[in-house]
Amino acid sequence: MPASETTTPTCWIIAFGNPQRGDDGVGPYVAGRLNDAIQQMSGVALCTLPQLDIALLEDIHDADHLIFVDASVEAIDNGLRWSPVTPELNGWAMGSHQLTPTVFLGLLHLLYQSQPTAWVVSVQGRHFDLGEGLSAEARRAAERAAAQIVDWLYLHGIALDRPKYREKG
Amino acid sequence: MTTATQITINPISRLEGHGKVTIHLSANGEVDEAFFHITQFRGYEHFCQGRPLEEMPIITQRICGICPVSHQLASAKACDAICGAPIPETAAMLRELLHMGQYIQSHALHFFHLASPDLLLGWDSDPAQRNVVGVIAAAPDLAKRGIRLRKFGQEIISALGGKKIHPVYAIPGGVTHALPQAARLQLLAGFQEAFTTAGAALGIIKDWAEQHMAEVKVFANFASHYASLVDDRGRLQLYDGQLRIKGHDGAILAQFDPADYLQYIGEHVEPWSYMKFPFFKPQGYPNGLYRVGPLARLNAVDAMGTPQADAELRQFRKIATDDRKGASLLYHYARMIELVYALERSQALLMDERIIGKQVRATAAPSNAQGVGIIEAPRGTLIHHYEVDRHGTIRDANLIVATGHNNLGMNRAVTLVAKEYIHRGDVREGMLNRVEGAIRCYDPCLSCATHALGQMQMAIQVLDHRGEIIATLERR
Repeated sequence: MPASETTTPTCWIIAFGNPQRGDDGVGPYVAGRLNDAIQQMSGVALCTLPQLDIALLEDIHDADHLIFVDASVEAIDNGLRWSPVTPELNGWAMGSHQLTPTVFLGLLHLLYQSQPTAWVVSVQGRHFDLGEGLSAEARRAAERAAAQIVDWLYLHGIALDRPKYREKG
Repeated sequence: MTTATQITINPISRLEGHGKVTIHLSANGEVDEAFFHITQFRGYEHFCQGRPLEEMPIITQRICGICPVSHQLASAKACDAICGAPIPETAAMLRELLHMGQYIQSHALHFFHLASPDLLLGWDSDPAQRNVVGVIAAAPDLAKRGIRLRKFGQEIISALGGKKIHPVYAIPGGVTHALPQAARLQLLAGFQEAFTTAGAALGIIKDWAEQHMAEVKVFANFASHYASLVDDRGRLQLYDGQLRIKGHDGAILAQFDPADYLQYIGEHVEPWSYMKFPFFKPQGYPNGLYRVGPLARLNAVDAMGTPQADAELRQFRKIATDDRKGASLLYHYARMIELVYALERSQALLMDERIIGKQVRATAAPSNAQGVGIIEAPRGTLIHHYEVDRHGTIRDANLIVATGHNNLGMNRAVTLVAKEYIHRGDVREGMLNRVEGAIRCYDPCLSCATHALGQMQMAIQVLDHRGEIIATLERR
């Protein structure tokens, strides 16, 4: 939810995944770790979802920046990667409710002519079996992801003061 | 065009979850038979064993990210039955309101973003455009309104349960908390646009139906029984009531309390699918084929019970005459009438002062060894049946979901469409989309139907008379 009821968010952090599938819960975990820091900022909204939802477009279409946080099944150097996202719909057909950040941005552009800067923060997962809780590797990477997002918000002038955030060991 | 006797489409598009269809051709390339398979493991019923009763509404809603509210409500009702204490009036109203929010968001999404490409752009349009992107290009304002309508339904859910998806609200004995007046007023402000959008959608499907009467009549149109919850006057009930099974000729074959469902509903198992095949027990398998969901409900009830929806039902029945009332394509039309009904019901509930009552939960210890909860989920009848020990721990759980009830019907629909549209091995994409479209009418949720553990895939295969796969089509 928006950190401030009176300020339109210019930046949305959209964390998604299923916490009941092990490391697929990285997104919600990062969101939980960011929650206190985000409360200190105006203009930043934090949203947690099981998967990207087309209805979210209506909320975020005026945003200048989007940061998606998701688990990755692929191997990533150091377990954490920031990747820019550009809108792309070519060859895509809506198969179900599942959307990728790329398609999400494509629909945002097509419907609202909006093209915010967008990043996907991918955290490598190790275990996606049934069950709650992250693997130790994913949790460490998720902690670094949360810290980097806070720094990013400060460095881009979205957070006026460097928010307090302390990584868990 | 491909001349072939085996096809794979992976995945079948615009369905919730994934499955597989095989179409078997004869030596001369005509369709012998077709099967809709679900190939995933079914597991949730087993997970529930050993869990405390009060956890069930939260556990079972995790079966699905699309209709969690339906599972939560059916589960809470089953728990209520075990506890044996009636829930407060306000709690029942709030649960129904939550349910209507689910209907609004689910029906809006299915119509605007999953079904409308076929309706607005046509079966044989370019596959690259025949999706929601094509709809946006053709009618951008309508697409945006569809998104806002889905969001409105989600806002009702969120206002009650704190989250748009997987809310925590319905619990054994009632709901977690009362509705604040401010939230009530905020929701009431959203109905004008919602009704306008629903009316636009209804207009689209009515025009489409009138212009495609011939196709409606031949496309997966077959006689069956129809099931729905009804109230004591035979009107539509989505949250509570008795389950009615009505024949194609309009005769009421059975009407019973949820607790008696095992006398009337059996489940058959086929070796080629993890999804069971429920049937009307007095007529056996497979003769006891019945369908659930929007079309079945409108065929089963005497009236809708709200003014606009009742007016629309009267118009609908001029099209859904005896020779068309079994037409799968009319599911889309019926779904939009239900959307209007859900808006009317939710508005009426919110305008009733009792909705902000403070008594929202009754407490009672488990007093019965088992309980059954039945609601009408957006896709159709949903049954939760639990058995507990004396401590209220789940010993056994049986879940029959809408997509399961429709399993026999979807198989019949796929076979009919394949026979109508595939000849001499001609498997053009437009024809295969019709096979998909037949399934899409039922808006199946395969993750619910199998309570699956992982991401599912869907494929269509066409096999020649030797059983060999002869062609593959893929879409992503």
